[in-house]
Amino acid sequence: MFLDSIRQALGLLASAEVWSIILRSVEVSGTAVAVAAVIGIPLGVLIGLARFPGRGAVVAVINTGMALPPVVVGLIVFMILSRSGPLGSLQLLYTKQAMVLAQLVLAVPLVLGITVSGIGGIPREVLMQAKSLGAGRLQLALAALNEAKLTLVLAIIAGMGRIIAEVGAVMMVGGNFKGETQVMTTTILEEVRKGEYALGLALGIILLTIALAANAVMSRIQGGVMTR
Amino acid sequence: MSDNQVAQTNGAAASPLLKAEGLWHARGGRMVLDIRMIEFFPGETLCLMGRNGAGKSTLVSILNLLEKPSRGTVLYGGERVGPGSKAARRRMAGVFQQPHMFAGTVESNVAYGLRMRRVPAAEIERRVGAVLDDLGIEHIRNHDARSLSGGEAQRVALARAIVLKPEVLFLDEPAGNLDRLARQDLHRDLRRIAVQENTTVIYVTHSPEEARAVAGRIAILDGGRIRQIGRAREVFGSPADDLVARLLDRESADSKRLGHIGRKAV
Repeated sequence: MFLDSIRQALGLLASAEVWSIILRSVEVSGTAVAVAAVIGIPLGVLIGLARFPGRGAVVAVINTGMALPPVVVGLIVFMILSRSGPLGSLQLLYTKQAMVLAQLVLAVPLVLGITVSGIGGIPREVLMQAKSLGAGRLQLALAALNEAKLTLVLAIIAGMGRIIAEVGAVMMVGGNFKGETQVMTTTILEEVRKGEYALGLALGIILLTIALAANAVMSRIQGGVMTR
Repeated sequence: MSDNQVAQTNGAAASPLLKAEGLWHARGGRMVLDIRMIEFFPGETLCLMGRNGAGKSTLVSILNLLEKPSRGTVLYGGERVGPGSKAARRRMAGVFQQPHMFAGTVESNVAYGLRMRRVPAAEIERRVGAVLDDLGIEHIRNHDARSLSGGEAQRVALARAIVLKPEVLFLDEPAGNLDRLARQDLHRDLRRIAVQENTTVIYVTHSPEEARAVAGRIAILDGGRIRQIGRAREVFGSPADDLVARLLDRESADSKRLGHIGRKAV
């Protein structure tokens, strides 16, 4: 049965339905990570460079956020978007936008946390040198971005890796509606529940491939950072 | 004008370009700097000397407007300035002991300060080329700045600062990692450039030999306070106390009397 399923799975990789699910996954998680980068990177540079009272607490909160359980995030976003919730009037529940929102909440702390630690890891002397050569505030932030650019790529890949593989949040706020809000992970769950392993396996192969590729890129980057 | 200012170097008649008053600075609850007054005159080279932790680098960082002192004021051309005074900071430049190179080529490193000042590209090209030529590093122009040898990186760091034609140039142990010959070259280039541009140079060093080579005046710091300040000749000639004498590798009246204790410790 196992071998059969694999054979079927490989066959399914050519089907239009499978690809529409893969593309939806990439679209939802890609949008979430892009928005997370737009929010998380500038904010992370700011926090990474700034010295203010309570900074340690802020960093602790961010680091906790990096490990938020997806189901809990899903639940909270669900409550906010549900009809009686504060944003209920937007009628976003069970849409792709709701899924993007939930994954955004998961990705922001990750992008933020990695950016803060990357920027914080730039030797103080490098930034002092830039300042001594006449860099203004914004120019200093740009210099920091330039010094930590590999870390920023890392932050984005890690963010993408986390959310494209999560199931709890998108399941809860997306509802797993066929052809509308079904993504790779929710489909796998659904198919296995029905006792259909082939489609689940096919999508699993894709997810594994993505994880493998992300890992390869990340370890290359980390290797590069370390040999600096 | 520059002749006049050079003539006035060290002279009490000239008005100071840079001055700090009532400087007091603490770090982690500990006093690291306590200086009632220190002045720097146009075109002079002043060497800051002292043991590790004497407060030399902190003083440089405050004067360079990189850091705000806990108390006290810094005056530039008579005007009160601080870390927010970008215009004043842009009339100075610093070279530090570790020549941290920015990601990019030698050329982009040397162009950095000019880019920050939004100097037109053609002028950047011209000025960077001239400085690279001047310091004999034209051949590494397109090298990755992070793959340079220590000596090369130090030259690039110097080029990066002097290309800005600063009025005040801070050099925080710039020769720390250099061999003897490279150090002599650095001093020679520095003297030439400082005279050409009438630059005020504030030079941190541990080495009496370096101080002799470059200093017009010397200030000795210890425990955050000025132990002695004066013309190089005078400070070398009559160290105020044993510590100063030891830092300058000289014998003080005290140490002679006490049978060369100071000398043994050196």
